[in-house]
Amino acid sequence: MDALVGIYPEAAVIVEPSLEREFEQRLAESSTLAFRIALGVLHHHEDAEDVAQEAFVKAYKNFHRLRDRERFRAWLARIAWRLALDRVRSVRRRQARELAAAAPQRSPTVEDVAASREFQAHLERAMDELPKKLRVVMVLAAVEGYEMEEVSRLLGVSQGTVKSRLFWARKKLAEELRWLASDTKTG
Amino acid sequence: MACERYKDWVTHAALDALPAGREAEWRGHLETCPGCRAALERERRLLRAIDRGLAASVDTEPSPEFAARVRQRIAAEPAGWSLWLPRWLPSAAGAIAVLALLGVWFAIRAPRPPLGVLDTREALVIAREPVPRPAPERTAGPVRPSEPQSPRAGRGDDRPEPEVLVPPGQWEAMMQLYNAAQQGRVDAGALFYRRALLEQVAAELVPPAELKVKPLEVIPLDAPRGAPQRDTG
Repeated sequence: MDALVGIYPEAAVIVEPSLEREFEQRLAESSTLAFRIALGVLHHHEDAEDVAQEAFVKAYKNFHRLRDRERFRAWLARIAWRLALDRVRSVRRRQARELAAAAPQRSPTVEDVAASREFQAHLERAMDELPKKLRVVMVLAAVEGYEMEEVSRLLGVSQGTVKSRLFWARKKLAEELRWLASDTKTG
Repeated sequence: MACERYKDWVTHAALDALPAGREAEWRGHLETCPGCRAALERERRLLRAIDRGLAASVDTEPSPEFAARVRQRIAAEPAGWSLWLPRWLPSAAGAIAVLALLGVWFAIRAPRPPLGVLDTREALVIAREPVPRPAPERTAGPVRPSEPQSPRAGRGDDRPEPEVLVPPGQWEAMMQLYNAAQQGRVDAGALFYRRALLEQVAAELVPPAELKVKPLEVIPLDAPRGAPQRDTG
């Protein structure tokens, strides 16, 4: 317990040492989740780390209010998501500059495009244009390996809702990116 | 290129979301239309590329120093107990302390209620006698609210400590009352004696006897006088 007090020497009066230990466990378990969610929005490693750290600081301040600590992951995911969206404007300006320098040279096949950074940049831009409800489900699906149950638990919605939103998100992304792979050979 | 009629079906089919009523028609059409088969395959590859691209965009770990940086940022937050408690709690604690002191003051000033079977004069005499207080063994002044100590501490009292859970907002009020009683500014003995007297009164009260109700005797109207007949119906 002294070690834990030493970690946060001036931050707060520790009312419950068990809360402190529990928070450390959550930090170890959920760091990757918060970071990947922020990365899915910001597409920038350092920005995503900064946002994820900020999410944990917010979580620490309100940790005692959690009624159900098993839902900490869902709670943290929402905090990270909102903080990442708040940070996104400055990131979009940087992405716009990068995209302007990455104009497509030809119309390759889908496989070539998928392997390229150009596709990735356009995919990220298309993701940024998605409505937030669709975007968050795509990010979480990517983070959680497209496990519907986990995504529905994080979002607090049914699996049917997750599948529906995933469908519309993918459909919209496909419409936005189809031009990248205009293969006229089999017309 | 997909047929005009079916080009809007391609994405649904690639996502396995074609309505049930259209699946048979779609499968039948695919058997005869190479354009739609190619379109379907391209759409599936595109969707796989989208999924892979998204997974690749988040398939990385935070830096090894991530947890340490979180702790540093938490430690750099403004110091204060409000980090673990609601921000309104200090104000609420102060308000509760004031209300508690007012309640104690009014309780001391309020007239004593009648004591039932006990002699009122005797009860008043008992209530007015100050409670003999043990000499305080601490010389450093009143106990501060932030230093919770048992009143029995240092007196060699072997009895187990009472389990009194005082919410954080009321702790300061309780300690102020305790300090006031220690310094003689509050006659806490009166509070305890009133309770003791009330308990004594309650113990001496005779419980009411069990109420017994005899069955109702109905005298028929045509019965001769002096010979009532009991109605056992």
